[in-house]
Amino acid sequence: MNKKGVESIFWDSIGLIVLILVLFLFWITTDFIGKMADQRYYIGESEIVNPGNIILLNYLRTDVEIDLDNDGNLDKINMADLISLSYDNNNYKELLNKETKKILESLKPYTWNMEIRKENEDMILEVKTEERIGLYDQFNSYIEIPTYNNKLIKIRLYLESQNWPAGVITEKG
Amino acid sequence: MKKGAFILSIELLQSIPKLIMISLTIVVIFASIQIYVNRDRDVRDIESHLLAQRFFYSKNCAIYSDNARAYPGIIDFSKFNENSLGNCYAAESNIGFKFTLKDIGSKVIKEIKLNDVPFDLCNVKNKNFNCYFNKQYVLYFDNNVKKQGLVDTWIIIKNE
Repeated sequence: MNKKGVESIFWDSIGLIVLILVLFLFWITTDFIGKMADQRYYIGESEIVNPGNIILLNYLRTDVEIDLDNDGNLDKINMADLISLSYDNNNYKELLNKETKKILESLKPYTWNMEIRKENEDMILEVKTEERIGLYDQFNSYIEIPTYNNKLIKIRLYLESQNWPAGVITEKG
Repeated sequence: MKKGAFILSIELLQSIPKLIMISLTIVVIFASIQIYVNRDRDVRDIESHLLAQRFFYSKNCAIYSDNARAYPGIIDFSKFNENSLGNCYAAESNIGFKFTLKDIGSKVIKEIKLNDVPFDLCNVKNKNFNCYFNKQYVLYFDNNVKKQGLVDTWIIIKNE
């Protein structure tokens, strides 16, 4: 074999290695793009159909009984009113905490975390179950409601569908 | 054999690996594009979600409505029956539905099943069926009295 032939084998080998590397990079890129597309699709799905919105709406609509004017008779208000009253009066927080827990605990196997904050992000009430682990479907709902004296209250509800019944696949991916 | 012809055939032989690699590259590129473009989107999950949401948003299902509007998430107990829900899901005759209305203490008040699909199949890991479950906190009107409740929704879709 002459010198040119030896050179050809040398450069061809390097060329082949480069080609394999290029193909490998191409495969990685295609796979990554595919996963990104799936991820966008998944997020969109959770945004479109968020069961937390109805839960939060019904939570605010729920009636509670409380003696507002200390006349010995119970008055019927809803949770939105109770939250509004709790903005600057701690006397209502115990009932708010109790009623919120009662509603949210009925939602098991959902795990949940609810935050009720003032407009400056000061916490009015936070109730939660165990920490969310981020492996399952997650639904976040948010609403702002006014108080009686024109302040703003921010309510956030985080739901995660852990410990779902057998046979139901909710795990991401 | 002439000297020129000999050199040409050697070059031809030497180019075979290159031709194979170029062919492979083209095949891989086209196959990847084809796989990406023609990929099936699995919409059973979102289909189940949307079917379940119909129950909570449509006044043609069991949602309470007055003369002015419907109230999403509030159930009219008088509409929570097989007839109303059967009309609501009339087009989905091959999909199984089960709606269980419970009180806030999880005591079953009423259960409606549509299309007679055995929900025991959801307890078996089976690729032939896609099971969907959801739990919703609801309010419901029973004889004009507003009550708190929960609705468990089961949907089972047969894979085709």
